[in-house]
Amino acid sequence: MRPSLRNESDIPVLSGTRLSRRLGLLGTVAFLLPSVTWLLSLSGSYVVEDFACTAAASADAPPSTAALRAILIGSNVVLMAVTLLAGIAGWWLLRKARSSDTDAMYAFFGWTVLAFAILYAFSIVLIGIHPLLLEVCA
Amino acid sequence: MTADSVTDLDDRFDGTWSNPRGFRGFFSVVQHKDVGMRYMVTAFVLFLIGGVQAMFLRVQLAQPENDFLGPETYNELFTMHGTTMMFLFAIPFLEGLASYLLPLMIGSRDLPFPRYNVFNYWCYLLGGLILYSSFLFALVPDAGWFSYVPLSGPDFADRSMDFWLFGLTLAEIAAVGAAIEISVAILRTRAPGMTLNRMPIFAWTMLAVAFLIIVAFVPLIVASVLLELDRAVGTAFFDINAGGSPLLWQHLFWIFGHPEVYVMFLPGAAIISHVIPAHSGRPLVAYPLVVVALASTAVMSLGLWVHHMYTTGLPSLTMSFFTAASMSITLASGLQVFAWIATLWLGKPRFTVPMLYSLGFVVTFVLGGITGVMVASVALDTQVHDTYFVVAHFHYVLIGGMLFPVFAALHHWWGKVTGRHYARRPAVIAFWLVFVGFHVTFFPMHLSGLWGMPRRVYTYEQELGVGLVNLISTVGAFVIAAGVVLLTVNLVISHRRGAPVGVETGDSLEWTTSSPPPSENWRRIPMVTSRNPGWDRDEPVDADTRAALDEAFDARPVEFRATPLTTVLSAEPDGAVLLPRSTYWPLVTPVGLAILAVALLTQWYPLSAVGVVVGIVGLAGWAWRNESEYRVEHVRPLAGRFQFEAHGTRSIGWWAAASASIVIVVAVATLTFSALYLQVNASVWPLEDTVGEPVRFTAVAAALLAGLGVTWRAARQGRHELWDLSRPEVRRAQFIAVAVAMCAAVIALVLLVPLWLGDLDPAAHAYESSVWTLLGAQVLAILAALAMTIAALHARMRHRRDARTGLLLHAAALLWAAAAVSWAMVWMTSDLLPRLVI
Ligand code: HEM
Ligand SMILES: [Cu+2]
Repeated sequence: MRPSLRNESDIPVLSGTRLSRRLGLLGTVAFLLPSVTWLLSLSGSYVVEDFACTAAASADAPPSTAALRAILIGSNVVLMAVTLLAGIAGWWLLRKARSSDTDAMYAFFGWTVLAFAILYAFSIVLIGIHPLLLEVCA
Repeated sequence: MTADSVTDLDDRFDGTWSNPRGFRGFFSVVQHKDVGMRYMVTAFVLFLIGGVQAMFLRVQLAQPENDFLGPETYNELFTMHGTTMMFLFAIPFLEGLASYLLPLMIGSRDLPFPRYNVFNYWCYLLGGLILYSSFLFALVPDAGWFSYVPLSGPDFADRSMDFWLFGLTLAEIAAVGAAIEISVAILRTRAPGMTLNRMPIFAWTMLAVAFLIIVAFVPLIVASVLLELDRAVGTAFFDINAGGSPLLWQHLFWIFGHPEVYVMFLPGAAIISHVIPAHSGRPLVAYPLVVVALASTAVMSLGLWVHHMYTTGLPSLTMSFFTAASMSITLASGLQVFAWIATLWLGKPRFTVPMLYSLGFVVTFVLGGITGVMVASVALDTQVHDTYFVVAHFHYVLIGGMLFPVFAALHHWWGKVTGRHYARRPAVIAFWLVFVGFHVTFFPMHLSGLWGMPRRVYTYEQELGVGLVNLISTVGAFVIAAGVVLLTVNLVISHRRGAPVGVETGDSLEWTTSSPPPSENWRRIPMVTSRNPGWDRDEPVDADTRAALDEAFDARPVEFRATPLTTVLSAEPDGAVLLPRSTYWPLVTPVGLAILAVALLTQWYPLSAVGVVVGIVGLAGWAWRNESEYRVEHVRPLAGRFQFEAHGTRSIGWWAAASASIVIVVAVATLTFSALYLQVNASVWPLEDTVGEPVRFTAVAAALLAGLGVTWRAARQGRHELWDLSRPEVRRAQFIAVAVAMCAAVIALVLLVPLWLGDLDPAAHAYESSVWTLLGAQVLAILAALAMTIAALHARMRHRRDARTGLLLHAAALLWAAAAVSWAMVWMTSDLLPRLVI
């Protein structure tokens, strides 16, 4: 037998079935997504606020604080919603997980994704709440 | 097969895995355990040196108005102490530990790119030597471990800063390399069955840390290059009068510096996550939560750099975002503490030496965390900024969070690594000296800080009233030193005379091989069925996979080194990696880089040409040597199944090329961020025109896309074939692709280089400085793609089969993609965005 370079490997599979590609992908994306949304929330809030205000200051044109505030809060709400969506995917994976071997993977993904989602959603709230409490560009 | 021929094969297997010893071995060994050990020994020696410097500082501070050291010497010593501890001890030691332990923990026979691993070690060693050679010339850096400009810029610092910049850049190159090595190892070479949910916490952590290193250390390399350009070429990145900004250095440094603290702390925590379960006889509680905690700590650490800049006058809303992030990270890192306490609670802790250090770690870390929360609040930070309160805080975090775990690791794995027991009594005494000494030294510093003693001053006045607390600190420092000496002597003696260890047990996989482990780690590749393979070694495994693995790997292959490849998520075996053996080549390029640094330091520029040539010869010789080893006999699928040269992500080379591309993109993105930052913040940005030439820039883009397109297409050709097939039409297509890509590279360079070295005056203004540097970076990115294309050509000429060239073309395509993405960023920042403002 001469293996070709394309074939899925013909080495026997450990647990008898291969991990489903689709679920593996879903798990990976949901695993990484909350981190990404949080980074976007922080860096986005920083860039919008800092760059907009500095640019306005050096151009001597006072910025529209109401618009800036709306952008800051709106984008953070959206990012939080996406984070929670990942959490729902985690919940779903968890329900999908039964006891066989690859399913332990789904359970792991489920738990971690759920925990990530809660942690990061809370952290995004911590960031997004400040434009309500403090002046923009002050 | 007869019994005789089996022993014969076994002997050949051992021969393949034996390493040269002595002088030759020293310069040519590439095996992960040797390299890891070297990293750790070098780093430990530097730790002792940094410690001696600290003792000098403490003696000077023991009483008010002391004149043991003058102000200049004091500045030099605290700079070298901080720099040594952070860059030459902490990070390299952990890299060494990972290099040694990871393959054992995840069940592979070596790291995926052993030669690259030793290349990194040489970079680190030479970087350290360059930094310390400053003592020979009485040009010791003195601008502090974060070298703020303008103090470190061309106007205020002498050549001593250049030693700092070159030395550190080499060490950082090593760190980035180690990160690539570590992440590919963890993703692709875990033992069959070690699914993500069974990975040891140390592996999870090193994966997160590798990610941090790539996104955070590359900015430091970039920042160092910018500063060196300001100093050597006269660019204006940090020069306020020409559109630059000193704050840019602070941003770039802390984008690196804050994550760096976590690059040290997270592996420390991971060590604890192995020591506590192993010495409590109970698996780690809440494993998934620990993974979440460490991963989010890593991610969040990227968002915290601004808290080092609270006193620089940022708008309060901006700062509030980062205060929020600081609070979140406290939450994330606190989660791990609960997991440790629960494990201790539910297990049967034995108070072994590693356990003592772990408990010392938990106590100290919690206290350091509390002061951390305090300095993270803007109000307090403005009070205690740059006082001894901060010195106390970061030593709590660094010594508690990194040094104690390292000492725990030394004792925990000592028997595994050396095969000998250390004496317990001296080790326990050393622990108490270090632990008590530590608190005696650093607790009083909180007080001296609150009472107004600034950091980085060589002395203080009697009237300040901090004489007594300082004396206590100094006494404590000597107690630590006594502990460290005792620990070191005890370990060294046990290495020579300790009783041999018998069978040891622990939670993770490394405990299932002998102590010390053989060169190949595992004669028979282990299969993993649980999270604690060290405890569950007798669980049944899947028989078919076991048989397939044994046929290919049980004391096999005998002629060359190899280890299985497994899939990222579920660790299914799906191929094999050819592991290279000892060679001198990886030493050559670091020497070239060091020569280059010396040339720039001595301003004897002809020598720099020698450095560049040596560097290039080193890479070429290395590539030649590799290609000679990828002989057709060596890549025949093992047992007819385990392929070496499958297409795309199923070959290990793809992962190396992808990592290199990511590093290039991150580097150019950092430059882009810097350029835009300057543009937005400059009060004067006197631009009438940009450098943009639409035709030329579009032509460059077209050339890069052409290079990407042809290499990509040719890489896909023949990917469905048998592994050793060679077909004339594929061969021809590969030749054509290489030729076209090389032309494309030449065209792009011909278009860019005259613009880069032409009318631009990098010294005139920060805008021109940044364009000049961006174009230079783009030229380097194109050269990288060109070099990979030449490597593909080289392979095409050396091998008959098409597959190897196809793989290298795929790698080249990834680098072409990086060059194209980087060009998009360069074009945007140098031309498109500035145009908007005009
Ligand atoms: C072993 C006992 C140690 C002692 C007695 C000690 C003592 C000191 C002292 C006296 C200073 C100078 C403070 C000043 O004048 O501002 C200092 C600075 C510093 N130390 Fe340590 N240290 C020790 C270990 C470490 C370790 C293990 C690390 C890192 C892993 C470290 C990192 C630093 C850094 C980064 C600085 C700041 C240097 C600067 O201001 O640029 N130290 N230490
Ligand atoms: Cu920080």
